Amino acid sequence: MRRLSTSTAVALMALALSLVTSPDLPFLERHPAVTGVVAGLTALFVFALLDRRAPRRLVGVGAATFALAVAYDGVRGEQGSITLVPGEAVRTFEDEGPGGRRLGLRPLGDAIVVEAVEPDGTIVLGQPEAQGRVRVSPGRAATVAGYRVGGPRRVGTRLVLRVSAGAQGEVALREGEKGSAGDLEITVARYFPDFALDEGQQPFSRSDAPNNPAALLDVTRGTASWRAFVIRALPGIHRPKGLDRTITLVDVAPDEAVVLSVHREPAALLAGLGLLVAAIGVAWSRW
Amino acid sequence: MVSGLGAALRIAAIASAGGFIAASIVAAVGLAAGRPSLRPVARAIALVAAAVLLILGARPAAQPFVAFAVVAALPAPQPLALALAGGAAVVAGLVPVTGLGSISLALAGAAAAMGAHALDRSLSAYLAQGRDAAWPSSAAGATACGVVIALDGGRALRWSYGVVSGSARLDVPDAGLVLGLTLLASLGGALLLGADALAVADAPAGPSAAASPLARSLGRRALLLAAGLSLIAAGLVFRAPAWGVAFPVAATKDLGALVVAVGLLSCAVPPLLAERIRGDALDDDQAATVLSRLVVVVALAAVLAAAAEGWLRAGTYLTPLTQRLLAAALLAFAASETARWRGAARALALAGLVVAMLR
Repeated sequence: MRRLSTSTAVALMALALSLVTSPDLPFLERHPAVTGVVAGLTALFVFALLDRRAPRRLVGVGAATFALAVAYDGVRGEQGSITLVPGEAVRTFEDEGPGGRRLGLRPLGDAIVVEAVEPDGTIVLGQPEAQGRVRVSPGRAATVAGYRVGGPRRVGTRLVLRVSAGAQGEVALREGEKGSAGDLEITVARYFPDFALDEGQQPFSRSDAPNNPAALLDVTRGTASWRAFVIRALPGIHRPKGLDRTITLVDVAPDEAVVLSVHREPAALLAGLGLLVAAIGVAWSRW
Repeated sequence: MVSGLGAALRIAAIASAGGFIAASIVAAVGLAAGRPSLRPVARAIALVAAAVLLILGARPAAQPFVAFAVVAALPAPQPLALALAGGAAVVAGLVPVTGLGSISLALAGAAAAMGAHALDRSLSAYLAQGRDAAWPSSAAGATACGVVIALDGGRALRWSYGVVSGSARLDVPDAGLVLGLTLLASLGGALLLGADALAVADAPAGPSAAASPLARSLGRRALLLAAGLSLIAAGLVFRAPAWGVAFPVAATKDLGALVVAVGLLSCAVPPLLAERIRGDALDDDQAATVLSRLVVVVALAAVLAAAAEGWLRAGTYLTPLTQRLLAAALLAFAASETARWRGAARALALAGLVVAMLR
C-alpha cells in the first residue's frame, strides 16, 4: 500500500485515468472489460490518495466522492432521447445505454407536447396533465417530471426508401433511425443532402440543400447484413452481393420533428461536492 | 462583409498578438543575456497588449483566450507563456461574435496560462543549472514542426493547405508551399540541434558549448528561418482570397497555431547564443512547483464550472467538455505529483488544457 501512495505511482495512475477519461480517446467504447479496468484503477487511485496525511487526504475524499457519484449515476441514472412531433403528446422516451445503444422505451412520468418552436430554437413544451408549460432552449435545459430535458434540435429530413424485386415495402427514416421495409431492417447510417466525391474519392456533401440526396444504409435480414448506397439520381445503382432486393431512395421529405435529450442523474450534487472537496484538498496541501 | 467595428477589433487583436510576441522575444533575450533591465520592458509590452485585448472580453467565444492572455501577462514575463498568449490573442480576435459564454473555459484559459508559466520556470531552472540549451531549443523546433503537420490533417507534407468551410473545401496553395518550407526548416533545426546535443560527450561548460559549432550555427539559423516562414504563412492564411467576405472558423485556430510557432521558434534562439544563463535554479524550481499546484486547483474549479454549466444547459453534468477538463485536471495533477520528468509532465498538462479550450 505504501508503494501505491508514492508520488510516482499516484502520478502514473492519474495519467492513466486522464487517458481513459478523455472523450477524444474512446477507450471505454472499445470493449466492455475496459470499464471494469477503469473502475479498478479508480479505486486504487482513491485508496492511494486516502493513504496520506491530512490535509492531503482531503483530495482522496473528494476523488472518492466524485467517483462514487459518477458510478451511482452510471448504474441508477437514466439517459436517452425523445422525438416530438408538434401537436402529438408523448409519454415515453428512448432509453440509451453506453455508446448510444438503444435499450427500449421508458415512461417519462408525464405527457408532454410541443406547443411552439421559436425562431431561436427554443421549444415550448406543454404538460397537459400537470397543466404546466416549460421552455427548453439550446442554452437552457428544463426539468420535466423529474427528468432534465435539453439540447433541442430540429430533425429536418426524412428519407423515403423503397424496397422492390421481391418482398416490397416503403419506409421513411431520419438519419440514424432504423425501420422495416419488406423483409429488410434498414438503418440510415449517413445522409448526404448534396452528394459529391472529393479529390480522394471520399464522399461529402457540398451543401445542406437536398440537391443530390444520397445515403449509406445498413441493411439486415436475419443474421445477414449489408452496407448499401442509394442516390436519388441513380435508382438501383448499387446492389450488394448476396442481397436480392433493390433499394431505391425515392424522395426526401421535410420533417417538423424535434429531438430532445433526456437525463436523470440523482448524484449530480454529490459529484459537484466531490470536485469542490478535491480542489480544497489540493489548495490546502503543503506548498 | 466585415463591419468597420469588426475590422478595427481584428486589427487590435493582431496588434496585441504582435505585442505579445515582441514581449516574449524581449523576455527571452533578457533571461539569456542576464539583463534584468529588459524584464520590466517585456512586462510593460505584455501588459499593454493584454489591455488592448480586454476590448474583446465582451465576446463570449473570445473570453477563454482573453483570460489566457491576461493571466500570461500579469506575473513576471516568461517567453513561452507570452508566445502562447500571442496565439491566444489572434484566436480571440477572429472567433465568431455570437455564442454562449462559459466560465469553465475562462477558468481553463487561466489554468493553461499558469501551466505555461510553470513550464517556463522549469526551463529557467534547467538552464540556470548550466545544462545545454540545445535540448529545449530542439524541442521547440520539433513542437513547431508538429504544429505545422497538424494543420489541415498533414497536408503540409504534400505542400498543400486549405480549410473546410461549411460543406466546401477552400484551398490556399501559396500558404501550402510556405508551410512545407516551414516544416522542413523547423525539422532541420530540431534535428541539427538535437544531434549536436547528443554528440556532446561530457557535461557542457555552458549552455552554448557544442560538439559541432557548425551544426549548432546551422540549427540556430534554421530555427530563425522557420520563424520567418511561419510569419509569412500566417500572413498568407489571413489574407487568402479564398475566404471571400467571411473568415472561416477552421482557419482561426490554424492562424493562432502559426503565431505560437513564430513565438516558440523566436524564443528558442537567444539561449543558444548565451555564454552562461544566470538565474536561481532553486527559486525557479520552487516557483514551478507552486504554480503546478495552482494549475490543479484552477483546473478542478473549471471542471466544477463545466459540470454546473452542463447540468443547466444540456441537462447532464457529464458533457464532453466536463470530461476533457477532468482529463486535463488529472494530467495537471500527475505533473504536480511526479518527481521525475517534471518538464515533460508539465508540457503534457499544458497541452491537455489547451486542447480542452480549443475543442
